[in-house]
Amino acid sequence: MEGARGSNLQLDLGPRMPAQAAPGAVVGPTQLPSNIHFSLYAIKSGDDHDFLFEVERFEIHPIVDLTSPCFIDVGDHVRFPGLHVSQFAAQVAGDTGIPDFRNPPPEATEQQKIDAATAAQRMTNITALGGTSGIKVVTSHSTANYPMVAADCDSAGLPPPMCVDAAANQRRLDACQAAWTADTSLWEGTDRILTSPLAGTTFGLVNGMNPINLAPVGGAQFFVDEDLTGMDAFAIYWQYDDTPGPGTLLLYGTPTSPSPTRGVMHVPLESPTSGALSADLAIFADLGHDETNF
Amino acid sequence: MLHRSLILIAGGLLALSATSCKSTDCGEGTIDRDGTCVPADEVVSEAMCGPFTELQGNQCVPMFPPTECDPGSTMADTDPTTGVTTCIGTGTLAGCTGAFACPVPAAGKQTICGQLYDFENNALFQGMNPTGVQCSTTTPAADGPCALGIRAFDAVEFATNPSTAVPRTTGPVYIDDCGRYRVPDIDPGTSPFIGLGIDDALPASRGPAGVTNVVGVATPKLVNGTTRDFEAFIVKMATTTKWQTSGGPGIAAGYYAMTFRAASTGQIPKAGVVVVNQAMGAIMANDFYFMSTQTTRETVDPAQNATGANGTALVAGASLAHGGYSGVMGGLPAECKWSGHPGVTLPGIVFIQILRPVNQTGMTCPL
Repeated sequence: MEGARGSNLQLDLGPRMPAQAAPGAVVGPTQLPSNIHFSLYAIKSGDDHDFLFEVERFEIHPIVDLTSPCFIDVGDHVRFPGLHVSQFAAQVAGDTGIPDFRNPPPEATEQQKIDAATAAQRMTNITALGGTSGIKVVTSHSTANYPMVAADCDSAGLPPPMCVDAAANQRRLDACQAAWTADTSLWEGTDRILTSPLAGTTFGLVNGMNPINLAPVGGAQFFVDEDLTGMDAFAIYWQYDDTPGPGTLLLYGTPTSPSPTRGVMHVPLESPTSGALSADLAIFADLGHDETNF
Repeated sequence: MLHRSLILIAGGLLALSATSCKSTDCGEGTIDRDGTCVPADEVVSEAMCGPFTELQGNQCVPMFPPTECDPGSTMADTDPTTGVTTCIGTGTLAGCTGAFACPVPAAGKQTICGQLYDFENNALFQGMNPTGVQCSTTTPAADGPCALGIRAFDAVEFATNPSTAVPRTTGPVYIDDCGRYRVPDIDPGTSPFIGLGIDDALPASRGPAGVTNVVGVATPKLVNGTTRDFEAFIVKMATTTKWQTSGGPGIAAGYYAMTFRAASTGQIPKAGVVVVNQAMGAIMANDFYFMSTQTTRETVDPAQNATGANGTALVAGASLAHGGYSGVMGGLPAECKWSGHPGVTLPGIVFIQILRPVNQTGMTCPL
């Protein structure tokens, strides 16, 4: 019986790796448009041609996006299933009767005080996680879009975030889950468990810092079908969705020789135009024939 | 051991050959994709790269940094969107209208550049007959931008306890008599925001005395990046006295001043906006607005309940613990909402925040 012939790639993207803007948002100076994807290419040099093999396609997003119409709470354990997370603190405030957690009414129970304060802290955390110094995530790639957001709470379509009644929450939950089921690569993050998204696949995180506890974070990995033994170079491009060709070169590098770790290809990737962009790629090639690590 | 040995005997010749499980030997231009040889996605012809360029991927890229500015007379300024580096002269021939360099910071640092304005009337804060000459770093002037000093802080650290906040290390701060400033190579703190503190350079004139009260502005941390055209302000004691005597709070308690702009760029103010706290909603007891027709910022109107022609509100009692502050109304189209920002009111300090229309959830704001 032969083992899998593919490879395991472990990718550390530097903190300045650009993330994609939210759909419809103005693209910031350190962002890329929303309708793009990143591709990791393996390059084999021929006598008069280079051959580019697209090894993996991925996206990079802030770990939470308050502007996403499907940034919602999901699951049996959540207080308001289907509620848009931007409305969480306000809903808890209404539920507990504590509009200002620093000044609770005398009749408030201890649990209500805890709930109100926790909700306020959650909103602060979300702002930090999704901000310019927040966490960036390497995710699965999808060209799918969510349904149009309705103009008000009663019209057909995805209810706007400010619609918070149970019926609107249920319609939002159903619509979002339908979109996620229709394309299992469509990614939506959550602040509840950073590595377990609401939908899609999280391959890992861009190197950086968790703004809540200031812990370093980073590291992503892919398992691919390609045996990458003997490849001469590797590169990461970004390209608009549904557009042919590799796109724009972001990072490029060749395997170090000799490799610092026996049996592992090490590829430092650098930007040809910006010294601030860099990445490190470690490749365990041909996993079915690995005498070093297994 | 995954290797298998195979002994072949052919024509009296004994050959010993060891082979592995790898039974596929893919030809040129193909790759082993889980046991099957498949062709490459892209074939790139060997590029004819010009002098001093080399092939990387499928692009010819420069072998050397594209620009080397003369350090004696110019400063390198790299456009963050195009990556083009321009050498901007450091002389005064172009006066106040000439380009002002905002160079890329050292690794791990941030550089902030911009213009100083008088918050009372939004006029450029410049010296008499300005030429663009750099202010003295050792002998502050009696008035104008050359009387000022600018220090950088971790904004959250400063807002939490200004008495214990330590200024971040920076390169030499540059201010010229046009009111243009550059704070290079700021060592960023741990919070997501960098704050600039503007006050008189002379220790004896700091605080409400001298040219300005202590003024704070904050911008997102951008390590290894430059923040350009960042508006900084002075607020004279005479100005805050006008606010207090017309019904607003006093400088002793401090101000969080929110200025609403009509579009995502530019300086056109927006009237009709009501300040809200993003967690608590309206803060009717703590927001103060100016006279509805006043384009300067001089006279608070206690009866006014939304921004007037100057687009500005003064907030008392703001705190980081209260979450962010934003606005509602102001005639924004449905696709837009007001940006939200943490805010704080600290004794003796005027914190100034510019707010602009941003995208409503799932929509694109046309402003």
